[in-house]
Amino acid sequence: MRNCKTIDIEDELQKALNLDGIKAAAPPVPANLAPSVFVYRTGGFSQAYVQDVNTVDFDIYARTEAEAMARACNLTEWVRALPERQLEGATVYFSDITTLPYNNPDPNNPTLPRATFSAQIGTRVTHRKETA
Amino acid sequence: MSLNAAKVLIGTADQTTTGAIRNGDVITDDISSWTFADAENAIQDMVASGYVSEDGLELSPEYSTNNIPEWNGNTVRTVLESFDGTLAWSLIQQDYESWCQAIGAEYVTKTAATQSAGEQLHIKMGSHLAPAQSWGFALKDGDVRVIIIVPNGQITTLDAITFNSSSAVALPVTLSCYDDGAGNPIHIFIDDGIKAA
Repeated sequence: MRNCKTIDIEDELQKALNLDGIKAAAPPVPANLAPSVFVYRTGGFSQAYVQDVNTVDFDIYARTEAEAMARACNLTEWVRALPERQLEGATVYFSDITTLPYNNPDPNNPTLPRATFSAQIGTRVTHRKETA
Repeated sequence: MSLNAAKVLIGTADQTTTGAIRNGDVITDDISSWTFADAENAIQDMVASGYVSEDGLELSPEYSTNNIPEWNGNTVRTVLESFDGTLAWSLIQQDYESWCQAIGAEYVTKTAATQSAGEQLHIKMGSHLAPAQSWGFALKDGDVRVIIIVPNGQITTLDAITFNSSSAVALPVTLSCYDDGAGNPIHIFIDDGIKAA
């Protein structure tokens, strides 16, 4: 039995961000939450049998466009350093920024400036322990 | 053998503050009876590289064989003529240690930084090879750790070094692995990380 489960990378990245003191939350975006980070997996694929390549978008809300962009640029450093840690016990093999931060106004929250960037994050699948 | 996807490995570098490829003096002792801990201790005493390119490390065991056909042309036996093991990687951190790995410390001069200039290197390339040395390669995948030891290896190829505006300057090197005196040029040690209860 293959016994390989894809991790919930949105949840795991949000937990890791909050652990590091970077306020992150799950959608939907409350109107008074800025500054904050939201993580969305927008796709990806399975590779090398036990490795998933996750395409992840990071949305950063702040009080001004400049602050959102600055926070997004800072966050790219955090994302690039992900290979040094584990998510849900799964090894992070690589983490590459695929789209640099850009201003990305949110039509649902027009008063909250938003910057977005994308990353490809390679993670190991998790394995359920075998039972007799 | 039972199927166990947890034992399917991805070859990532075991590195935190130093690189995963190390070199030191040629190991003349027979290491046939070494344990993983022995290999771990050995690489601690070696000099570490810096960053290696995303292409990682490639180990190529090349068995050269010769077929012995019978009268009607069918192969009745294949005999081993030679074994040639090589490892290849690209160093992308341009510093003293990387250049010493690639062409030998004898051909790299380092001048410490001063108040008016940074650390300076003088690399002398010519018709000479880096000396034979011992080499250690540290890899990991979660709790699984792999150490490759080459007791006596020599960098024998330094491929083209490309200077352009779209990629890191890399030193693509190939290590030829020589006999360790016991017929084993390359030793691979694996710890699966699963401790007994």
